[in-house]
Amino acid sequence: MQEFIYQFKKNRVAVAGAVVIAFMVLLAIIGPAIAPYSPYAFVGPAMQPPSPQFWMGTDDLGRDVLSRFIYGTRISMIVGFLAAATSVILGITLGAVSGYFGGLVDQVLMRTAELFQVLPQFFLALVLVALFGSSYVIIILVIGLLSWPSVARLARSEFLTLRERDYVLSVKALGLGVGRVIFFEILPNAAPALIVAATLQFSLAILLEASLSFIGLGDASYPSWGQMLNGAQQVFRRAWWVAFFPGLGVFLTVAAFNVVGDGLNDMQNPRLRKL
Amino acid sequence: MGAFFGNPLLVFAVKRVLSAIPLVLLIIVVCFFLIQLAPGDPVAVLLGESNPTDAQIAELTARLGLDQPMHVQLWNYLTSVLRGDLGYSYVANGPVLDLIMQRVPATLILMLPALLIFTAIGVGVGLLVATRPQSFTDNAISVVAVLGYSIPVFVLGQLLLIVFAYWLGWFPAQGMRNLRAPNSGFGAFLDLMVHLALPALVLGTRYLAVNARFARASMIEALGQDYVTSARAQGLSEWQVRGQALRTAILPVITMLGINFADILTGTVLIEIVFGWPGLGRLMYDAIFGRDYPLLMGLFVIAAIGTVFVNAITDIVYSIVDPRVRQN
Repeated sequence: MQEFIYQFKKNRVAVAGAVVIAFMVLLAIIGPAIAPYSPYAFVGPAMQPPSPQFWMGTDDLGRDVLSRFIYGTRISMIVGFLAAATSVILGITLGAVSGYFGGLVDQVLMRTAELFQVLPQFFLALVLVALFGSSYVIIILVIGLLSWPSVARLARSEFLTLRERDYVLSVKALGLGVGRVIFFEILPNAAPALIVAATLQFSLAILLEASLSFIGLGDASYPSWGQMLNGAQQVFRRAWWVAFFPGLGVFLTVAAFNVVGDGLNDMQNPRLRKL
Repeated sequence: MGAFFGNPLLVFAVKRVLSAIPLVLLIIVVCFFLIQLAPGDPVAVLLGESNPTDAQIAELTARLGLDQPMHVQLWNYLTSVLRGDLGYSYVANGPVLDLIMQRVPATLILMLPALLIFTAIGVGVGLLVATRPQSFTDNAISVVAVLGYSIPVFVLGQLLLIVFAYWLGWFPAQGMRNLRAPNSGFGAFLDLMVHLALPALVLGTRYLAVNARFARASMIEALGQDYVTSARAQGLSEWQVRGQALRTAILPVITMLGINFADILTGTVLIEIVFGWPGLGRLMYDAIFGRDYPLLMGLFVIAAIGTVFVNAITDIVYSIVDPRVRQN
């Protein structure tokens, strides 16, 4: 662990990314306690530029952009986490089964994964959310169900190599059940690669939710950065701050997850690091 | 005919296109079941919030054949899509395929030039920094590339609009042409270019970043191969060596173009919404706003089939550059 932290610290860009993520998570947790106003209340004149009273200005309805930004952080983090968790759990389970058992199961699962990968993800998500309703539960499920194949293929390739290792063969010879071999013997050794994949899933999920909301398919019951950008589309000609801050939020968060993912990836391939 | 079957490239191309057909069928089947599974009965879903006449409702009900068994309905849907009939939009009052085809040229005008120019620049940058890995320039460009790749197109689009259109007034903010500009000739071309500049730049930033990252990694890998070392040992100049490595390095970049097509299309569509560009993205935005489900499904089918075929074409191009893949 100390070695891990030492190596990670050497990559200053990745450290900066981790700091941004920590900040966003903190903001998401304590948000309601520090938000100056309610995100729904009309608290001031419409389209006020940033000022000591409204740090990020007000939007076209006179709502406080900072308060909406803070609540939006919660949504991005929650949707990102749950959608990434869905796709990672699904991906690891299906990939593990595929790689461990091989044969017909593997064939069927991998062909399905390929089909999902060739379908244009954003357009399919859009159709699904438009048809089945744009609640956060549906948005999370759709993002999770559409993103598992890349995790599954990675998990499969890890399991394909690891299942032949001596330690796996020996615990199998000892009569350990299939579930225990997969989840307690092989999975921990496949974890480093899968953690990188999970980080990238997180950033993809945040981006996809923001895109859906931006295009007008967000869950209107709770403000998100994407919805703020969608609303800003009508007014940002006169009020740049309405678009700027939520845009910055999405950008920083997605970038932070990407650089942390890259950093972790480089650590696993020391050969690339030394190049 | 002998010459035809004797040409391995043609045989490969035909095989590759044929292998895409099951996928296309599967996409249409997926669409059919989506409409079936959606809450509410299919007629209500497809009519959306339009105000259809009784005749239109009767026509749609008859067309879907809801009293028929499921497999007959599926067969009817499949054959009509394959005939190019993507249904009728009751909101926009027109056949879906016509509505989509009207918008395709505008989307291609935005997409293709940006794709070609910025991919070339991105690959160039990636190849150059790959020759000096871990130098200051390389590290700086890697960081910029991650940022360029992470910024959502609609965020970058809005930022550039604020700065270059609203504050500085250098570029028009919305649309594809100025009504007062000349209709043809150089004036019209210039007008189009001025409107194209910002959205194309936004779209291009992403390709530039993606390709720079990818070409760099690919070139570093190629430069580490044994044949490069042996070329160096034979006394070839550094530029000749890089030329050799380039042939290997460029292959994955071609594949990436195919794999990224869906991503590129998504980017284009989102940018069109920011810039009011009258292409497929704008059409999609209107379809969502008007709950125009036949049009949305049609856009999905076209995007999916387009992706499948672009992948096929990339594979064929790849096989021209690297004939070994044809033997497989």
